[in-house]
Amino acid sequence: MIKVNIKKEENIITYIRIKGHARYEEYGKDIVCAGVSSALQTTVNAILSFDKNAIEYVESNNFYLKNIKKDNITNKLLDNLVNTLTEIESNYKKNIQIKEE
Amino acid sequence: MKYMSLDLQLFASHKGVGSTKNGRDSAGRRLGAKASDGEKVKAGSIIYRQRGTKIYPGVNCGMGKDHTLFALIDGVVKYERKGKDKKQASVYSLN
Repeated sequence: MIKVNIKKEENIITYIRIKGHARYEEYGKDIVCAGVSSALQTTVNAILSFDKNAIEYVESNNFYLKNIKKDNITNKLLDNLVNTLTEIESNYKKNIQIKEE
Repeated sequence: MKYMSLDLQLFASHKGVGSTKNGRDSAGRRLGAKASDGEKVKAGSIIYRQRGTKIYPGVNCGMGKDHTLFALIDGVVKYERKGKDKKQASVYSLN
């Protein structure tokens, strides 16, 4: 199961950690993992295209991201990411779990 | 800070991790009745293939060491009750 941990301060996402394995299907066919991976990588690259210093992140399947600048674009893109992951979770509860700390 | 590379299986369990040890099975042994009730059989022909004595040997019926039932004479096969809850196969002569 993929575990997503989110930290917020005054309703702004300051920190996201995503780790684990979806285990929906074998490697190469895991659509849940593909959904989460593409949503995450699209969001990170979108933020970096606006401002390369807006976030800090570690690229691995033990992924973590820190919202440095907390500017409006970054916040909106991170909110959108969490909404997307929440949508995936609603359909694949056994494979992804989101927790707000 | 470089862009993130696209890996669609970033959170998938990796290749070759704990591949399954199952997936083998032996061929079917084709057990069961080889002659049905009322069928004419020749002496020596097999009537029933089984594991253990699902069906017991009855009149004019022999049993091999693998519990195969076979006819001892030419005749007609009859599947009958044996006691309260058992079955037996017998061969009755035609003449």
